[in-house]
Amino acid sequence: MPASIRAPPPPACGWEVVSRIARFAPVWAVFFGCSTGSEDAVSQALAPVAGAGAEALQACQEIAFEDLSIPCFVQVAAQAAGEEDDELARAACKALPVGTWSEECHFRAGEEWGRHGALNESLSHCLEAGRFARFCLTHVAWNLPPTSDVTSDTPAAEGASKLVAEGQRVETLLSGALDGLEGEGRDIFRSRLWFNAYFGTGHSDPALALAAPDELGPAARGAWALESARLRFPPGEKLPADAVQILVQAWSDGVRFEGQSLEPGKRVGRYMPPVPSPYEADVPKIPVYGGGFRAVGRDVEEDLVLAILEALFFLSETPAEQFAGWLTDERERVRWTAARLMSGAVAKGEDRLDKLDAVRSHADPAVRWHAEFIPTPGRSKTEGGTHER
Amino acid sequence: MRVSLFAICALTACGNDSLGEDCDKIGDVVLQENCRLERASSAFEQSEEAFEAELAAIASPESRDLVRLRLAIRDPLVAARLCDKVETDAAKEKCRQVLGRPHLQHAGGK
Repeated sequence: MPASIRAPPPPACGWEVVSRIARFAPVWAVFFGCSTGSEDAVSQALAPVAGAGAEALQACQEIAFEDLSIPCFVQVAAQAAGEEDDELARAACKALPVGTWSEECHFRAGEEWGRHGALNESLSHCLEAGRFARFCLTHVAWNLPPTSDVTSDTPAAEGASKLVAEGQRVETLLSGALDGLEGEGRDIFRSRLWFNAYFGTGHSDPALALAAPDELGPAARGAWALESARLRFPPGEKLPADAVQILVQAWSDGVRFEGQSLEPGKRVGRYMPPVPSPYEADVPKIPVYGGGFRAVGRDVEEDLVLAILEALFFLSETPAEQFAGWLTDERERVRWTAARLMSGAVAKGEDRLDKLDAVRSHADPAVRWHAEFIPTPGRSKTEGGTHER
Repeated sequence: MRVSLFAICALTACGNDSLGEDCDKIGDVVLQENCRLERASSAFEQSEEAFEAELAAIASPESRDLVRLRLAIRDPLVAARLCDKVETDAAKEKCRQVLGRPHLQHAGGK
């Protein structure tokens, strides 16, 4: 049959079509408006941020898919803040639509500035982080590097004054912040500034904490207790049953502990997440390392006990039993704190029911509550461990 | 005659009118990927199976990951589910930017 009158073949598929298409590729490309380098647009969108500085910002803008440019801008902002280029960090965040990702962008920029101890820039970004502002302040505070402003050689009154002044600077920067951030942020930074003045320094003299004004007393005592517990009860040694009394006595006697300092990145410990006991809703609290809180005592003596109990928990090997003796204390905040820490100190694999028997069978319902709530304590190996609430 | 039949065949993707292949016919890569995303997004809202079927119609793992990533970025609440199945190292790295930030997975939306 001559080709001209042959019946047309059935529509071809598979390789036959492919090969035919290939033959006419230039025609199809024109016909369908094919762009070359189509793979490139996808690969470019998935690729890591290219370049640095303004070049990286430009690379984000050139990503063909808007969704994929979003994490690119966030990363550029974080990198820029890490390199102390706030103009670029802000330009990157500004490129994002208002909402979740622009808030995340300011959160990341704030965190990175905070690692350099740049309070002005970090707090400014945190306050633009919308729903994430609280997380941002917490992360910035607990990653704030120690400074050399207050050392073991600084006279106590002078050291306390410097810490007060630094706290006031934070207050000014947070002034007018909405949604309770002003007060919360102030309290978190107070705790961190005092933490940095003591913990890991290798020196623990109660004189500095004693020089703190009343409103900073809990943060100051908390920080003193952390370093004193670390220096007085080194790892590997069994904690004495009267560890709290030993440190209370040291405070009263003005004992100055000396020991090995810790690298800033290793100034970490075991911490509790926020534990929302309904029985303790009205108890005054201060923020502690990791995003949790501790109760403030009704007086200095009670507060010191609370601070030391928390410090013993921060030593990551302290067993649950260490806190048992305090479950019968006549001061309710001491009992509740002991119950909370005891619950958090039950190690994985231990029999929780057995370990917390004294908590479960306690006459005080606010103590018993802690046997029911199962916290997941954090153990930071590096700085910055925080439970997000 | 043969040429015109061939052209019709190519345009209709040989009788398989899966919408996934409709996207394949779009020459502009951005529009093509947008088409895939919109289809996959609708399928994602229907069911996991529909979504997986939609992805299965996309030949390139990079393009499948692009769909997953774009959906994860649009709605970080579902990022864990999507990122769990990304195939390429590049996409895994991008996913870490979302999954490493737990607050994003509670915030949702752009």
